[in-house]
Amino acid sequence: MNNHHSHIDDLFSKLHHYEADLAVEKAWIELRDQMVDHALKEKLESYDLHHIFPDLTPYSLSELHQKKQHKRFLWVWGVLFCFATLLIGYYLFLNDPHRSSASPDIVDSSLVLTHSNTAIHNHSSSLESPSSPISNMVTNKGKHSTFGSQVIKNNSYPPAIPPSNASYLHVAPLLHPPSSTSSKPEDHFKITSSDNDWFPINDSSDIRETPSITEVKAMESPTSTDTLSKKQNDSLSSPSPKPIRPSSLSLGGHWGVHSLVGLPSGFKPGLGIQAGIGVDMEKRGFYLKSGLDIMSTVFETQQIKVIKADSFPVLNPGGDTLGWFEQNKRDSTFTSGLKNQLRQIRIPFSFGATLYDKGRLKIMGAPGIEWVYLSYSTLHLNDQWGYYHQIPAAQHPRFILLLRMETQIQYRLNSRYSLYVNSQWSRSGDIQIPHHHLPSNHQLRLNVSNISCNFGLKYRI
Amino acid sequence: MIIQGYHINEVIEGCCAQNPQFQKILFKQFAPKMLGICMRYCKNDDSAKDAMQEGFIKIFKHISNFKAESKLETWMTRIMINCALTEWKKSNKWVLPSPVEDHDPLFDTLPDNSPDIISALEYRDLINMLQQLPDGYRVVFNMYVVEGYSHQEIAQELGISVGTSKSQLNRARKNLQLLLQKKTSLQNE
Repeated sequence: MNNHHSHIDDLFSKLHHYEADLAVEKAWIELRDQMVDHALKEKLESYDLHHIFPDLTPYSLSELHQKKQHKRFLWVWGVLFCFATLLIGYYLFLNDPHRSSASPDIVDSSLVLTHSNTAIHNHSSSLESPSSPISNMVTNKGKHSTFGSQVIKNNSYPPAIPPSNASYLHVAPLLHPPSSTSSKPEDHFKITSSDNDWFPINDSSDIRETPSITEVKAMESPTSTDTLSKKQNDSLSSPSPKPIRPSSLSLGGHWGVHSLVGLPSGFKPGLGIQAGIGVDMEKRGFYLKSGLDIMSTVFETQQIKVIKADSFPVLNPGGDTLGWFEQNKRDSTFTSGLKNQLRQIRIPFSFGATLYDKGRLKIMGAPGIEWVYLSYSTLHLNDQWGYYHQIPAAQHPRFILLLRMETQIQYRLNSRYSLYVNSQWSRSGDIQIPHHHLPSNHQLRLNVSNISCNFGLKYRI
Repeated sequence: MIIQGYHINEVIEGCCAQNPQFQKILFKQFAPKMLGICMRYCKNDDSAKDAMQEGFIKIFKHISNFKAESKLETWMTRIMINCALTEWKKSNKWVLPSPVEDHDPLFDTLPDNSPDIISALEYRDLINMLQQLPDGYRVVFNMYVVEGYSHQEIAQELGISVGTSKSQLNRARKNLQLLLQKKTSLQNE
């Protein structure tokens, strides 16, 4: 068996010395071509392949993940802000439980009436002439003052309540001695309203409104009883001097200028123009604001650096271009003056408060967010080494979320119209622009943070 | 050893200097032999030529690593076999019979009916028969019978078990036996 075994193996083992028939010269030429191709490929591999095969540079997964997380955080933040603002706005502006039942003035007057019981009593006890209009107005003898379910019978007031409890409405004797010409009892008294506030009493419902100080002062002059009564009725029917800010809806238009901030070195920010409309709803010192702004921004890439190189194609024996050799690479830096342009449509959304309101002047401040749509853009950006890159439009960011803070100074022209100056600061954060010529951790960055100043006219509906 | 008037060491030094003249001398000297090796391991002549070219590129690139203690031909043979096996190793298409397959001595023997015909078979015929074998059979048979590797070495080289190597060899012999029978029967007719 062993012999047989070695037999079949021996037959093939002689192949150990087998030499194939080969056209050596032809094979050598083929081998030389192969070796040249091989050497060229190896040399190409030693060059920076980013310039030859740009698509070979992948983004690291972790960076993509971080980028997504960053975007997700901004959007979540924005949505939460909107939701919270709408919620607060709903409770402030729309969910007023007294809105449909009674005006805020009347509601508050119940408290005033309750607290001023002693004052009324005090008045009645202080007045020397019960027949005077003032005493009639205040004491209201024989009548029942009613408000809602509360019934106040003035005659049943306790006779002795310390004057110190009269915290709201005071009827104090005049300090100066009565003049000889003034013999009427009303001249000796002055009704003052504490805290410069109001005291509404509706005649028809047996609740009388105490006249304001100006009205009472007018009554100090000697007039007939009819005149006083007429004035009294007028004063009762006239509106009180608005202590609580009512809700209001305003429309405004504005135009202004802005400038990008936070640009890296090598850029010169220009002055951009903007125009827009806004709507704000205000109540109790808080306001919601939104609108639409159109902005055009121009900034300049001042200095750029490019790499110059001598290049020639690398062909295989079939004539196909394998790639390009780049040799003698050298930097060239020059002043460019290349213009970058951004046209943006911005939708701001703010929730703010009135910081100052006196006379015609009003100052408001509001944090918020802005959604930006980049409708048109040309970008010539430098990377962190100063090398110039023109970014294809397809790679430009289109939707950007900004944080913003605005301050508005408003001057009331009349009850309807106001002029305002609006200054605002918006911050975008660094927007990464993927560029296949650059490594994933050194991508180009753009910042559209800006400061702006607008002048506008507001109309209160 | 003198090759075309140059001592082998001169040729090697010339190749280390990437001198095309010495590379050509080396190629002319060993190419037929190396092609023969590749033909034994590859499925057809074209892939054998490709493997040989790839092998020579590696040889010229790494010849500076060659140590004079060993024989140059052996070193080159090793590289050629590796190149021939590279693609095969990637696909790793084994035809795996049962590793515990019994050895059948019948298939170790040559057909007895026509010893003259068998002895008259040329190298080319044997190569053709080898190339008809499945990949795994051919590689193991070559390594064991022609190169003289042990099963242990084959298993280590190819990353298979010793049992697999043995069974592959048995199957290869069986197939070759059938091929030889077919060949002799055809020639007898």
